[in-house]
Amino acid sequence: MDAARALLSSWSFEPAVVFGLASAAGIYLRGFAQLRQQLPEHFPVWRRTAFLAGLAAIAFALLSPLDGLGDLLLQAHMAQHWLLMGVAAPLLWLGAPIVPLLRGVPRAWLRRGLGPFLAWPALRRALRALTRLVPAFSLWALTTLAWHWPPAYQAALRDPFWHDLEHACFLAAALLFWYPVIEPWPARRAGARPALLLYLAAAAVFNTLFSASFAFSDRLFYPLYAEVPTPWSIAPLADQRAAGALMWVASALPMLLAAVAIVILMLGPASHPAPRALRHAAPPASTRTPVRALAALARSLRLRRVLQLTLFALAGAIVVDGWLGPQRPSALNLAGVLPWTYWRGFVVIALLLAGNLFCATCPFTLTRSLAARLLGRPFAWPAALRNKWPAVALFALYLWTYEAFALWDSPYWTAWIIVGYFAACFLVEGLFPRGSFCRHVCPIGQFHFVNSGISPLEVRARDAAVCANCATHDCLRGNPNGPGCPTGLFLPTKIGNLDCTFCLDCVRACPHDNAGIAPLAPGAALGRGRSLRATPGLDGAALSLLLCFGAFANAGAMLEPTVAAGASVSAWLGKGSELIVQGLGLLLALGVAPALLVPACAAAGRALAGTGVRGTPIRRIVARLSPALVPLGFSMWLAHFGFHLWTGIGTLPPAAGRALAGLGLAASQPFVDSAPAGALAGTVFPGLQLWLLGAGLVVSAAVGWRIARELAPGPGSALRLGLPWAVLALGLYASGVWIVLQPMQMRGMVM
Amino acid sequence: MRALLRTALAVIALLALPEASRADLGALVADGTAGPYRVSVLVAPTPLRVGRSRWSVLVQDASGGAVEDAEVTLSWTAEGNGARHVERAAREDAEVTPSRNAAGHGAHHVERAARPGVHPFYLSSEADLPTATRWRVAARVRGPKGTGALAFDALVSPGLGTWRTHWPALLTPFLALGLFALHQSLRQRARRTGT
Repeated sequence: MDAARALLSSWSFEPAVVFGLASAAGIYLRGFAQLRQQLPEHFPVWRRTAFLAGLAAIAFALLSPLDGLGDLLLQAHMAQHWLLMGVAAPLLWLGAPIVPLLRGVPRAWLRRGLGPFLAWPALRRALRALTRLVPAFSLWALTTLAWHWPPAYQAALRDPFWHDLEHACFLAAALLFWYPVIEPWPARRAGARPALLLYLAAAAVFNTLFSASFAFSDRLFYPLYAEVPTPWSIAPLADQRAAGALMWVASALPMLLAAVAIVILMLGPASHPAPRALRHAAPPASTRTPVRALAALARSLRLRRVLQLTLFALAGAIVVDGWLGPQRPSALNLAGVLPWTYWRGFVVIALLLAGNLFCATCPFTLTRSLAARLLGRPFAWPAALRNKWPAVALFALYLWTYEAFALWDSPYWTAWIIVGYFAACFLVEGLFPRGSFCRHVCPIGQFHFVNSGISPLEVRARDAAVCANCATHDCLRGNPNGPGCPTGLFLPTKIGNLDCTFCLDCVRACPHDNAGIAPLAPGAALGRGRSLRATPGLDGAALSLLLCFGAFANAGAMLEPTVAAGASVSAWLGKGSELIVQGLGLLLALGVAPALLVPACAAAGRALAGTGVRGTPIRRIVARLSPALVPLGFSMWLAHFGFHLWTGIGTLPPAAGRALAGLGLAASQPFVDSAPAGALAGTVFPGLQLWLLGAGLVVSAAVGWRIARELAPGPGSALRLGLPWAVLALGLYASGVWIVLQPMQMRGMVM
Repeated sequence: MRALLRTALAVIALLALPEASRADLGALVADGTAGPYRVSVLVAPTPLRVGRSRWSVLVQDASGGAVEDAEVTLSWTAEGNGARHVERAAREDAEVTPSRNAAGHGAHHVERAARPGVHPFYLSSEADLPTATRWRVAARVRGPKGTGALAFDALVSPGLGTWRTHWPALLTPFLALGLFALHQSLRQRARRTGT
C-alpha cells in the first residue's frame, strides 16, 4: 500500500463536524454579504478569507488523515493540536466573526432564541472577564497542561468521547487566548498594546518550557504509543522528541507573527474605528428562482393528480393482493408490506420534515366529484356532529380493530379496510357538503391534521393587507382556477395546520397570488387551531389526547411483556376472552387513563396556580393544554413507525416480485425467511428512538409553557399551572423510554 | 423558506455521505505471524464489550513495511450460551448466523471483510458481538506473497447496561429543558426591566 493511497483513503466524514463547519460557513457568509454592503471598511474580503481558512484548518485537523495518524504518532497528534490552537483560532478571529454570525442567523431566531442569552448581563460579564489577559492566559495554559497529563491524554487516545472533548477544550481555550490579541471588530480594547507584547512573551516562555519537557525527556510520557504497531521505524521516544520540537517551533510562529503585527500597529496611526449602529437588511433576492420553481411544482394540480392516481393504483394493488394473494407469511403480500411498513413510516417522516403531504395526495378523495355528481350532496352535515367527536370515535375504533384483527398481519382484512374507506368517503362526500369526510370523519386525516402541528411548513396568506382588501374570498369559495378550501378554512384567519389538507386549492384559487407555503416553527401553532375557539370545546382536546395516549398504547402492545400479560389474563378468564382482554386494555389506556389523569392535572394545576386561574373552568384548561402533549405523542409514533420502516425497508422487492410472478410478469422466487436490514435494530435504533422521544418531550414542554402563560396572569402561576402536566408528560416519556428499550414482539410482522 | 430548503438539503447531503467516521484505534489484542506476514489487530472500545466494536488490522511484510493490496477477512465465533441467545442475535443482527457446532451447541459466527478506514495503512471492520463470552477471532490475509491466518481469543465483557449506553440521549432533553427555562427567565427579566 503506497503512502499516498493510504493517506487519500483515510479521510473521514464525521457528520457532526461537517455539519457544524458547513453551518458556520453558511451563516457567516450570509451575514458577511449583508455587512459588506453596509460597512465595507470593516469587512474587506481578506476577513472572509481568514474566517474560511480558519474553518478549513479545523476541517483538516479533524477530518484529514492527520486525525488517524494522531493515534499512531505523537508528532502527528501535536500537529493536529497546533492546527486547532495556533492556526484555526487566530484565523477565525481575524474574520471578525461575531457580527457576521449574528447577522447571518435568521432574524426571528436571533431575537427570540438567542436574544435573551446575548443580553444576559451575567454571561456578558463572564465573557468580558474571561477575555482579559490574565484569565485568558491562565485558562489556555491550564487546558494545555491538563490534557497533556498522561492519564488524561491516554484516556483521549482510547475513547472517542474524551478525544472529542479534548479537541473542543483546546479550540475554546485557544479562542480565549487569541481574543485579546486580535480584538475582533467591534470589540473594545481590553489592554494596551505593550501589555499584549508581555502576554505573548509569557505564552512563548510557557510554550518553550512545555515543549522542551517533551523534547529533552528520556521518559516516554504516553506508553500507548509504544503499543501501537506502525509501518515505519520511528521509536516512540524519538517520536516524542520530534513532537516536542514541532510544538516548540510551530506554536511560537503565530505568537511571533502576532508580536510583529502589534509592533507595526504601535508604530502606525490608530485605526480601530468605533462600531456604529447597524440596520438589519433583507438578504439579496437574486437566487430565489429554484425556490419559485419548487413552489410552482408544488401547486401544480397535474402533479397532485398524478400522485393521487399513483396512490389510487397502489391501493388497488393492495386490495387485489390482499384478497387473492397468500395470507401467510403476510410479508409476501403487498397488503402486509405497503401500508404497515412503508406508508406509515413515510407519512410520519413527511410530517416531521415538511407537512401533511399524505392528505395532499390522498387517493380516497379522487372520487369526490363523481360522488357529488351521482348523489347530489342533498344533506347538510348534522349540527351535532360538526366537531371532532365522530373522528375520535372512529380513530379509537381503528386502534381496537388493529389489535383485535391483527391488521398488520392480515392482508385480507387490510384490503377490506381500504375498500371500506373508499366506500365511506364516496358516500359522505356524495351525500354531504364537500370536505365533510376530511373534516369530521376520516381518522387518517385527523392523525395528520393534529400531528402536522409539529410540521415546519404551513399554507398561509403572504400579506394580511391584501386579504383585508379582498372582497371575493376566493380562497374559501373557489373560482374557475380552483375550488376553494375543502375544509372551510379562511386564509386570513387560518392558524397552523389543523384541518389543512395541504391540497393548495386556496393557493390556486387566490386571484391576488397572496397564498403560499411558508415556514412555521414546529409546535408554534399547537393549541391555536380553528377547533380551539374562544370557548374551546373538548373535541379537539380529546383528539389530541387520543393520538398521544394511542401512540404509547399502540407501541406498547407490540412488546413481549404486554403480549405475555395479555395472554396470562386471557388464559385465566378462559378461552375466547382474547378480544375482551384487548378491548379492556385499550379502554384502560385510551379512555380511563386520560379521563382520570388529564382532569386531575388540570384541577391540581388550577389549585396550585392560585387566584389568577381559580375562575377558569377545568374544561377550558383541559381543552387548552391537551394539545401540548401532541409533540410527545408524535415522537412515539415516529419512533415506532420509523423502527418498522427501517427494519423492514427490504421487504417490498420480495412481495412485489411475488405479486408480479403471480401475474406472470416475472419469474417466481423462493421465499427466504430472513431478517433484512436488521443490523442496526439492536444497537443504534434504541438510541435514535430515545433522541426522538427526548425532542418530543422538549417541544411539548415549550408548547405547554406557552399555553400556560396565555392562561395564567404571571410566570409563577403559569409554572404552577403547568407543573402537573409536566409530571404527566414525564410519565409518558418514561413509559416511552421503557417501550423502546424492550425487545419488540413482532407478532408476524417482518422486521 | 430558502434557508429551510438549504438546511434540509445540507442534512440530506450529510446523511448520504459515506459511512466512514472518526474512531480511535483502541488497544492491541493480537500481534503475530500469519504466513509470510506480520499481523497486528487492535480493537476499540477497551475493554471490549457486548455491542459494536471496531477492529483495525495492520499487515506488514518481513521488512516491516505495510503490505500493498492485502485483503483481510475477520471472523468471530462464539460457542454455547444456548439457543435463545443465538436466535436473538440472529434477529438483531442480520450478519450473525445461528448454527450448530459438532457437539450440537448453539454457535455465533460473524464474518466481515476489513477495508481501509480512517487510520492510514490500517484496514478496519466493525462487528456487533451480541454475547459476553470468549470469542475466537481469526484474521485471514491474502496478499501478493501468499495467504496466512492469525487466530486468537478475545474476551467480550458484558455491555455497559441500558443507562450507561444511552445516557447522552436520556440526559440531553433535560439539559435542553434547563436551557429553555433559563431562556424564558431571561426573557421575563428583560420584559420587566424593559431592555
